[in-house]
Amino acid sequence: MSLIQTLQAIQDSDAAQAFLGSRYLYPAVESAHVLGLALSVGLLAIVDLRLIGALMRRQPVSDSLDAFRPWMIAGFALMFVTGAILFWPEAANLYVNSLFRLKMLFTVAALANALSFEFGIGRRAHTWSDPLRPPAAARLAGFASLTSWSLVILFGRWIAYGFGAHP
Amino acid sequence: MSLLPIFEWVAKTPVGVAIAKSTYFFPVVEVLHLLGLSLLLGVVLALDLRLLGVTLRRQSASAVASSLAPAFSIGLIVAVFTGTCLFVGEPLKCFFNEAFWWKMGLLALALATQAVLFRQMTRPKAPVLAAQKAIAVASLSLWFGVGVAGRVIGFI
Repeated sequence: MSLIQTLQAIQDSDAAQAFLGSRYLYPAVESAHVLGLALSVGLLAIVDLRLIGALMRRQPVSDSLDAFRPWMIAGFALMFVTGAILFWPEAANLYVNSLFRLKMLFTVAALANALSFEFGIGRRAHTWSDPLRPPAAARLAGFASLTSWSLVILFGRWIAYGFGAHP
Repeated sequence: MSLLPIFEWVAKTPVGVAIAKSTYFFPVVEVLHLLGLSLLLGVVLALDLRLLGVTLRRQSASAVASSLAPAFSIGLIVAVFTGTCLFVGEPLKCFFNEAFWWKMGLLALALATQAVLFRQMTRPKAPVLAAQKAIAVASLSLWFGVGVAGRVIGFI
């Protein structure tokens, strides 16, 4: 069975379609996915704006990194779990949706950027020569993060309008 | 007196008609609304967590409040402006949508709570009192309610 056939079988399964048609469960998961933005992208935006020097300039960058890291990880865990559940009853439709592919592309790019920051220059945040002004690479990572997550939100919202669907 | 005539008038204004007719206005403005509310709710969450004493303890509550105030204002301005644009495009749908009225009521309460919270937090060296923690919990609950009600508008 090819990938698209497998996805179609997942999408057509009784459980998936019952979930999609549920009166409260589907809207609840979808709302959790949208409101999880506050925990994930909202807190991330504060850290990114701190990195690029647009916010909290008098406080060390490592303070906001350390303070929000566990909350952001919880927020992104919520986004990925609810996102996977929402994918399930529309697996095949989304797989061929061009905006969904773009959303996944920028999600991967944003994650790669976050991981390279966390295990690279961000890990040494406590020893940056100037705790108030991050090195250029860290500022660039903050800018890349803001841009890619904003695009993820853009494509994600537009999928729900039916844009990008396969003809 | 009913507000309905006002809502009907808004729907008939040239701006209202143009927004309602446009194909791309809603998708674009709604994304900006989401970006604005992400920032706004992120700041609210950060402030409330600090006031509850669970994070950012290395900095005083007043330092956190004053440094995050600009981001709160920007998020709020973006969310309210884009929200108003969305409203102008479909005032009658809003008028007959119960969730819309819940959202506006909760928003008014959330904004009032936030004003009290900022005032509390910017007092120099204010100790974290039980009352402040209660305000933080109220703020979180009210903003969460605004978000849920906002989402429910689309489901009704």
